Amino acid sequence: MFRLIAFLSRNRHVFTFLLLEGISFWIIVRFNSLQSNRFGDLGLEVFGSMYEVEDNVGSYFSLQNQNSQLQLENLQLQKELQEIRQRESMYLALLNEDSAATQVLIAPADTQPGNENFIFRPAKVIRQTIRQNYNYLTLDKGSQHGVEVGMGVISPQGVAGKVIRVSKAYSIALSALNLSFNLTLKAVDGRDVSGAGTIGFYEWNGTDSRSGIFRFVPDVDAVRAGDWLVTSGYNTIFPEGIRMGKVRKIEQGGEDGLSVAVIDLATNFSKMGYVYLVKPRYKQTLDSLQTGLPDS
Amino acid sequence: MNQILRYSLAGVFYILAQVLLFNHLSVFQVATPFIFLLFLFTLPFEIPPSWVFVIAFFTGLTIDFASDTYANGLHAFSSVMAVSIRRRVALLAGSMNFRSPEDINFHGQNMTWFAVYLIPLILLHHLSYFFLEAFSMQHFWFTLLKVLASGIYTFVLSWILCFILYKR
Repeated sequence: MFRLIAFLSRNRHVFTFLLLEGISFWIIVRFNSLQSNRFGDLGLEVFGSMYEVEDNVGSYFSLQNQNSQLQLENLQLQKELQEIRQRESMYLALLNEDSAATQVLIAPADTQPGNENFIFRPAKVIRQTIRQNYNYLTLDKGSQHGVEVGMGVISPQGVAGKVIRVSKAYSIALSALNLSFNLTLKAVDGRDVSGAGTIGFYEWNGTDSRSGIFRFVPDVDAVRAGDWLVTSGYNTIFPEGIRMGKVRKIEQGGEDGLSVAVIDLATNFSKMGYVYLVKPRYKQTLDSLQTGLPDS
Repeated sequence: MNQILRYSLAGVFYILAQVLLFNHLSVFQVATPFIFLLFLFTLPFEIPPSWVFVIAFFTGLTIDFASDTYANGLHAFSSVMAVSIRRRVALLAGSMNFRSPEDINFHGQNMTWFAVYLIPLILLHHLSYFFLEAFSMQHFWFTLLKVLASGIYTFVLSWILCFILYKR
């Protein structure tokens, strides 16, 4: 004890120096937005690489799971490809029969906003929380891979989140399991995901990682249990028709006059692996178009 | 007691001069003279280093909060950093004429000594200040330009002040 005191008193100038520099540095990164942002990015880089190592170790044990998930996704894609091929051959057959009639058939398809208007980038979730009120996903791709703030995050099953912070090699996304995550959805029945449906808002209740809440203007038979809720395409983040979840039950009348539906989320947040980051190809054009509008 | 009062008054005077006058004498937003540093650099060497650190910290913090630069803590950090090498630089500048810094009296030093003493201290403060302000190496050369421009500005004004205050 005496030695410790002697040591402290002998080096008291050094300790005073370190203490004051520590306090100043804390003030700098705590009270200045620029420095705290840059310092935060530094932290994200450091912790990001740590999470990546952790995830690399962990992913060996879940390889089988990941594989089957990828296989399932492959199957789904194969099926869609098949459908598209069929349609194409149908169009081609029509084209041979009567070129004038085909023009009418094909033209509307071209004007539909399809997925070619969106840019997809693969990424991997290296860390996530699901038990907080505000959950986040840490992804292993950053600005050097073309990730930007505001990109949507899609899991193989459906909507997963939205990118809110990007450093050089990593990014952080607001999970759909976050009280401040909201999204416009529409209800569709069966597999007809591109049809018009009741519009409403998704939000999370803050407790269950498998269910969310859908608020909509009450209407006769507008939304039924078993309906799919998909992205509306009315925002500039997600393409139209990405699944959010399935309606489990309708709870009539909230205090704001909106009906509430409890939904089973499509994305299994407890088993997140590979995801896609998505943004509209012409996001800047879209944004600049919309900024001039009143009430926007 | 008399001494403490005198230096406290000097401190208040330097801080007021910095905030009210010298902060507004910046050239093209690139060079700003930080004259309050002269107050810290010319504190008598009899004051224990710890106390000099504390004085530098609070002086820097006051300047930080009184300046409208939205960069709190920068001067506090940089000032403490700069005064940490004060004694060593003072000895080196005296070219072995002094055995310990306590022997140094600012009155009676010639202008060359002041130049050799002030330049490293001002440089260290400015390096620390402007690179912390930018908080990145992205605009390295522009930041360095700011360091040198402000450094020269601060040095010239401080040197003139030394000439006025400590002339033999």
